[in-house]
Amino acid sequence: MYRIRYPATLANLGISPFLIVGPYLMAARMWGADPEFQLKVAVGLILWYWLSQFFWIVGFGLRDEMWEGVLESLLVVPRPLCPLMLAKFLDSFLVSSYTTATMLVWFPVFGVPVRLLPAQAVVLLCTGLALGALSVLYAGMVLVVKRAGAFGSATQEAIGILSGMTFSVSRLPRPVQVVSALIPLTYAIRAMRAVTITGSLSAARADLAALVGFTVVVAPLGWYVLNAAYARARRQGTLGEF
Amino acid sequence: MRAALTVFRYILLGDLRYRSEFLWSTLNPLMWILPAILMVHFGLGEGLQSGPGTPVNYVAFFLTGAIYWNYVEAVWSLCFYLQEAMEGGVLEALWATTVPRVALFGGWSLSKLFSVTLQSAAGLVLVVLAMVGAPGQALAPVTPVQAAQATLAALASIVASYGLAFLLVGLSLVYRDVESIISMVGNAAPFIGGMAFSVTLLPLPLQVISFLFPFTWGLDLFRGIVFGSPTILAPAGELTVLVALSVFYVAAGYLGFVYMEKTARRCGLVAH
Repeated sequence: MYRIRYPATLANLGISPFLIVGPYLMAARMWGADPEFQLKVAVGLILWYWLSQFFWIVGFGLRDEMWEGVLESLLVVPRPLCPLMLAKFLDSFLVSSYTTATMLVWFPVFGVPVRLLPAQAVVLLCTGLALGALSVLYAGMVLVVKRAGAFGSATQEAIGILSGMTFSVSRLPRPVQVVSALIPLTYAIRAMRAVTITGSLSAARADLAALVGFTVVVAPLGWYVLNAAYARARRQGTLGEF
Repeated sequence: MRAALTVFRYILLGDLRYRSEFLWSTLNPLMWILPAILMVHFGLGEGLQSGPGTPVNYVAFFLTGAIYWNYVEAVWSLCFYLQEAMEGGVLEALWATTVPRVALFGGWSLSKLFSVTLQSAAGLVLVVLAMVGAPGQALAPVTPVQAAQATLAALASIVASYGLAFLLVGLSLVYRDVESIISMVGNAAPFIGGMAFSVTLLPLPLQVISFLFPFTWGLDLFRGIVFGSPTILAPAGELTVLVALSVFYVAAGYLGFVYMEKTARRCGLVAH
């Protein structure tokens, strides 16, 4: 309802994502990137943008409600925290799908090739679940420290870099690759690149399994951390203020 | 002046209150450009190649663009302080004080420029290291005239940002929820202005738009002087265009702000 009430938000979501990832793609073009290289970079950037949306909407979204002074009212109603977070997750998924669709419209205008396949939807679904689980962890942190925006931005960038959003993680030093292996976005980007280039889901089977495994482990952990942070905020009476 | 310094102190105290937020924000400018640096670093020979149009020292090229943009953004993003005051419900009280608007804007932008200077320090050190550390890529000697041109280019870009800031503040007052428009302008400007690439690579209609932005000329001139990269026009011509655009932006932005502020007060929108 909010997004319909303010159509400029939808227009912004249709334009801004490309403007954010565009400089990297144009820089690749400046260095004479071939179509496959551009495609790989585009895939990495799209999925990094998914991470960004999940972080801001699921993770940082609680801070927005706190800032507007409605979080306390929302949480004191006799309803569990689950529906609120689920709604945020669905919103993130829809917004990310929308921004991806609009980016795919922009890409050909700037000479970036686009290849659409049904198998990519499976990768996106697994990616959304894994990133949603990670964002719930971040939401717990937001409830504790309140102003975690800069931390969130820096973390998103760091995760993007460690996941190889603009290059292959195999080029990173070995110890850094160990860290990359702990991040779901690494598997998501690798899976999407494999599916997009080969056209087959079987090429990404191991990475998809890793994404599902990550979701299974991190979702309960994130939920525990969020509930602990929520209980702490209630105890300290800091739900409604900074 | 005292009012501007009071606002500056108030913002600084807020930053000190949330130190982790401030410390993390120091990383953001570098983190933003690092993917581009690593893309070229790992991509050369594997899908990317250097050519006559590519800068020899890509690390310094990207970092300079990022630092330049940080300063430009620091000024125009002062409308976010207004948005914060609006959402926090203190805007009407702030607007009703006898503090001149210019002092308020001065205090907001001063605090942001102060933060950006601290945040850019690491980037500047890296630029120098990138230039000194790469054999044969050290900074070319800059004459006093060139140094004056580079300084003027940077200052004119910052001044032009005030014009955009005035306009965005006015729009925020009248239309309240203009975060989307601000965000769109903020995201479009580094892209249109060629922060990480040459604007000559953009499709022709976007090139025309980019030439209407003072930042395009400022960054192109700055890079041309510091790195000796080819510029769109001769340096003197670029400087003239930049100064003319800066004057136009500030005048148009301020007049727009005065008009929209009057509209907001007349319609009783300041408190909403």
